[in-house]
Amino acid sequence: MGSWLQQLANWYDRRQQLKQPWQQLRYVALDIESTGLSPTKHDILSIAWVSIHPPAIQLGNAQYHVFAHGQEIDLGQSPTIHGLTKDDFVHSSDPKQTFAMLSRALNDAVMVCHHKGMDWGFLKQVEKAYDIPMKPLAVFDTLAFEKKRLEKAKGAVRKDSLTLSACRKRYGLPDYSSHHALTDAIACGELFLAQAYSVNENELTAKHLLLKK
Amino acid sequence: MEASDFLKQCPPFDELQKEHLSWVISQLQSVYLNEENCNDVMNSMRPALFIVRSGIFDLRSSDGELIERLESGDLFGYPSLLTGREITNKLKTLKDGIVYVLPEHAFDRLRKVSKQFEQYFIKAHGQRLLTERKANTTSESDWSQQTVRSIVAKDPISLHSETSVQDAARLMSNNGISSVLVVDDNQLVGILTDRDLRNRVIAEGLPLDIRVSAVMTQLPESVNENRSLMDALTVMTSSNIHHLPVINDNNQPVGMITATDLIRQQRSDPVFLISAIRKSESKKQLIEEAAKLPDYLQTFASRVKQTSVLGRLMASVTDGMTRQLIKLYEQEHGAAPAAYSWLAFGSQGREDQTLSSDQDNGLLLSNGLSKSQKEWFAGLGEYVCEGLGDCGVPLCPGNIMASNPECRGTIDEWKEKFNGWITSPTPKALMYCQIFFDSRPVMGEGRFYQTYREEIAKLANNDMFLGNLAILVNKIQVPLGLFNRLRTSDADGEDTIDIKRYGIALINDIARIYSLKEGLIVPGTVARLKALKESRLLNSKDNQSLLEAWEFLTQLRLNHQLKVWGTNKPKNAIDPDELSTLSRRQLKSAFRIIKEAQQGVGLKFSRQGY
Repeated sequence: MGSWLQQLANWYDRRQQLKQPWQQLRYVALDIESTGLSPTKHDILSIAWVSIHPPAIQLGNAQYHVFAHGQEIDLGQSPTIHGLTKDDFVHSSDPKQTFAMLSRALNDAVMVCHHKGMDWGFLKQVEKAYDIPMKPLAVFDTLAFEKKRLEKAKGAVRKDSLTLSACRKRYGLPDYSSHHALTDAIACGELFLAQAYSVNENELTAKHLLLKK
Repeated sequence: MEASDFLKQCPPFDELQKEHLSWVISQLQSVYLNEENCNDVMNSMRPALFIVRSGIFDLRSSDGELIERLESGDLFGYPSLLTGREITNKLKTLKDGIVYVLPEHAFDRLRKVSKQFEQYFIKAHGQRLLTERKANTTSESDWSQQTVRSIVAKDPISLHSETSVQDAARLMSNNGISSVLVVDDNQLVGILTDRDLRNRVIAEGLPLDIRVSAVMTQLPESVNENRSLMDALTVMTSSNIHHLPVINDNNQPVGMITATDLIRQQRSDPVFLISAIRKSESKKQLIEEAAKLPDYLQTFASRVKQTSVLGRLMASVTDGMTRQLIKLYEQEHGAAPAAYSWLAFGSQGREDQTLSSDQDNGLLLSNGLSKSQKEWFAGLGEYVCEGLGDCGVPLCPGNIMASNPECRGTIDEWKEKFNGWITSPTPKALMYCQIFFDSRPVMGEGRFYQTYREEIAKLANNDMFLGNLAILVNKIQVPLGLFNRLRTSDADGEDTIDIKRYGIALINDIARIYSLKEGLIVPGTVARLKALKESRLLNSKDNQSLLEAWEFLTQLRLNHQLKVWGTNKPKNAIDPDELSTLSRRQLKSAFRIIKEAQQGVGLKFSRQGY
């Protein structure tokens, strides 16, 4: 079968899957800590993800990896921001293996992150650099969801009201110390559940949720 | 990870070994609960153990009755895991939140690998949260709770009362002992000590063939082998004796212990303090020794399991100081001109004294004293109360002290006072009763006191009076708000709870009411509850709950007092936010128990209910 046909079949399959009630799908909440904001210029320092089978986040299957990037990486300001020290890098993971694992995790799942631009951008770089496909069914952006919701409720939205912890606060979620990829991935997953359950509609499909204003 | 940091603080997970805790994390799931989804989510997860991470939830029975309000750190779902019964409870969300879920197989495995984990849930299930932490302290460190039997080394050395004193002296000399038991027909009839031989035989020039029965101390104080060393110590210090015969349940002597035996048990213990107090030769010296009490207590408290021991210890120390002051007064003013008892009331009487307890004392005097004799006792009251104040036992702000003429009286005068309080129960009169019925003789003739105590016990069995006490107890509301949340008051700008007023004192009051009804004359709350085990008025489960709540609260108070000692922070005010999750949970249980007990006395003693 031609590859464009395969792609079409995949696209159709994804569309069908997203038509299911959102609770039927699997989600992967993900967070990346990097040396900077630009996926093309900067490197991934650590990555964490956790699977969500609604209603439960599988804390036990959470993955957390730190990359050493050989020895030459310049940590710059980052060690203080991300709480990573030289010691963490001693237990670093092999990027290729890690991303292969992530690729499998994302397969047939909706990826969830807080601010798609960053995390998705880095994953696109990974796709290129290691030739590992990152093909989630869709990407759910907790930040974008919240932005739309607030805009709908009260128009203008202050930027600082969209940080992960500010969003969590609005749903009464506990205060976590942030900027650790694993904590942030779980925090993002919890926020996703809170957002999804806050939409008061019967038979809400994943597609609806993704497009929800 | 955030979840593991959280569980490390959350009983009983805090007891798990490191590898077991990380295994827990590997099995853990996290769910978001809100009003719409909570019961669906719960049903899809159970049976499982649920741990509230955030949010507030009400657990209600199938007929809607509130079972428990759940907040961060609270657990639910375990009863069905333990019993396998179907779950019928419903959850209601008051504030959305995150709940951790530990599946059944993981729960079962943890019960197998960790005994503490298993026991926590068995106890929690039995509504017995209040005793769970006790097993933590190692028992070897708590010398005072060892039984007397454990330090009785040798078989008893005894002789018949017909033996001659010379043979007795020979027996003592051969065995290297300073005292010997006098036993006829397997029963202890007396004790003979070196001092008796010196004072009563040699100094008196009596012949060496005189029988032991003529010079021994007859019917001496003794202690049952199953009692604690603390009890033995209390008997020794209160009777000022160094040799204490040990008997078994059949009243047969099984050995002898001495003050030295006790001191040998723990060299740094307050036994020394008590003995130093007894040896003080001046008021100045006595005050210096008394100043060491807080330090002694700090070290001692870290080793004992049961705090009721410390209340008794402090009462023993205050007793010791009182007796020594009386002795010093007698050295200056001659011996007491008539029979009397020095009475301890209130916390000293109940032996649940703390570092901040005031003095409550009085004098029970003989009938028909002359003016000068009365003056002798007035002087005694003033001297001792002032001396106790100098020793660090605060003067009583309500002036319930032997220095106050109102607190000195004959048996008839005391009876008249009690009668007045009982028949016209003004608030003040009832408050007096709460203090004066908890009495104990510190010095003076035992029989004399016993008569007084039995007489006033008879007066107390008055339904109207007991009803009034029950109403009084119900006037104080335990600090549990709606749905069993702790209610604080900001007396000094801090949100705290006075656990004496709203906890310990209420249990004391409740135990007293039952005791008065039963005609009991023991003053201590623990002793009263133990004596009430046979009572038909208070069932044994409620009795046990009250005892556990009392012990928990006194422990909490002591820990708090040791922490704030030397500062001007309130000595009975607890900030619930500073407590561990477990202690907060226990505090709620304790208040719940008290609340039920209040209603219980209300229903049983006051016709109006409460």
